[in-house]
Amino acid sequence: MSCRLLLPALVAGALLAGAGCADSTDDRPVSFTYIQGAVFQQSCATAACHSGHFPIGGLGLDSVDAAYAGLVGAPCVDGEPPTDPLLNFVRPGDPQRSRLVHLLEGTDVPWRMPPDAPLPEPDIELVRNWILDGAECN
Amino acid sequence: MRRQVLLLSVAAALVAVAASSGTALAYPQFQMSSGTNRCGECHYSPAGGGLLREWGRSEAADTISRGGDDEFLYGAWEPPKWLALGADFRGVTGIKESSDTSRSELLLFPMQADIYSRFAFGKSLSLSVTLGGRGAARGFPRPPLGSREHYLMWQPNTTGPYIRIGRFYAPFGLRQTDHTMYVRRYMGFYSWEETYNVSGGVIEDDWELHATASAPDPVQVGTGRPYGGSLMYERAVGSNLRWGLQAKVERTNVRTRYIAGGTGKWYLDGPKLMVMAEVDGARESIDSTPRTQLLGHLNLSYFPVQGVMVGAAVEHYAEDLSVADTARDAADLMIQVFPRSHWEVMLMGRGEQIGDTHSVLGFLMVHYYL
Repeated sequence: MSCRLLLPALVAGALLAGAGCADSTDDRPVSFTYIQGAVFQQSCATAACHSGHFPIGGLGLDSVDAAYAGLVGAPCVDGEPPTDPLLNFVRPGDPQRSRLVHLLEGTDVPWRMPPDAPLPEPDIELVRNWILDGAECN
Repeated sequence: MRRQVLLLSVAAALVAVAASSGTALAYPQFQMSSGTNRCGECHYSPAGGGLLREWGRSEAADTISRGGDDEFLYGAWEPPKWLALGADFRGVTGIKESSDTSRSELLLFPMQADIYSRFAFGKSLSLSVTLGGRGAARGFPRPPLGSREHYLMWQPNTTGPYIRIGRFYAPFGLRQTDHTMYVRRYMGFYSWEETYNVSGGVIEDDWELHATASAPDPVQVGTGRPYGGSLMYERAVGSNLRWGLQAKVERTNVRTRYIAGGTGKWYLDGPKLMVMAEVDGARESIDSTPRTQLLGHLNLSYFPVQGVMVGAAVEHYAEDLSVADTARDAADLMIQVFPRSHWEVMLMGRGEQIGDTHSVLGFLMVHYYL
């Protein structure tokens, strides 16, 4: 194959990849540290949004400690049960009444988060499962 | 979604067909179509973008647009030789619809207001500073002002070695202008994600090599963005084809990511068509859990007449190849018109599919550079 055709072939392969090679099961860890790194850091803690010294809405999601404190309203202490004030983004054990889930789903809120592009459903499900498991800082 | 993408495709195709074939054109990112080989021929930055050199201003007015005065302030005042100035202003209005929220979102916001300055200290040394307002699609940007770029550079000639220290995007991949494209959004080059770097390289007409060590901006970006390093190599094969390789490592407090990829740019003289492609693969470890990612980007641009560019792009980004329905795809159609020097009007349609959710964005951008 000439080099003029090699790159388009690679791009075509990349564009088609994922159509049939991904598992239907999600074995990712239901832990806050994983969710913060895999989801929040890359999709929410971008430069113009929930990061730095001037995060939007005062909610910084760029570190595990800041994200946990901002979402759950408690310091991140492994094994420590979170508090449950009504205004928190997360209500431990109750994803359906957690504002974080509403924001990610775009239900009962002015706009969905992230506003530029929604999270894939498996990522939202990971957040739901973490809340259902008690929303610990694990 | 498919019907809307098809309608956008038909609209763009009609524009392309209706326009007659004209003079071969150039555009800064399409360096080969005008015989301009390197980004640094038109821009002071060795990797392109930002303040234009005299040659770049001339190209933008005479070759890319439908004509006009190319000078700063239209020649009303000429800066001294040691000073170069410029500015970019962009405003956007548009509408976005998403399938799962069944709601239309109207967008109207200032995208960019940057003033560029470059101070030369002799032949080789310079200081470049960009100051400007921060645009935001929603809400009020905080802080409202910022500096995307500020760097000190040693570069004796536009070819040969150079060293840069300061804030800018590390040279990597295709460096598309649109920050929402996956090659920028998910590769660490999103809006205002310029890093603090020590960077150096060698640029020749038929090849270039850049090496960069990076740290995030602690004020505007925060601890979630990575430290790292990157390498980029690009080589010309003849006058119409260039290929490149790039690699990057990123490390934050909870994740480490290794990226490797390639690029290609191919200008077809006959149909006046530019083909650009990028493929990147990434292996990432998050809190000791690995995942593999894949990104593909294909972009076609056609210059039907001087002052008009019609483009289309498709992109795929698999966030985690081991988990179903975590990939996203996008298709873009763009019509860019450069009616006179200093002016650009862009009409863009973008469709995106993420699992079962799809969204369509249409927007109009007006760009003025000084």
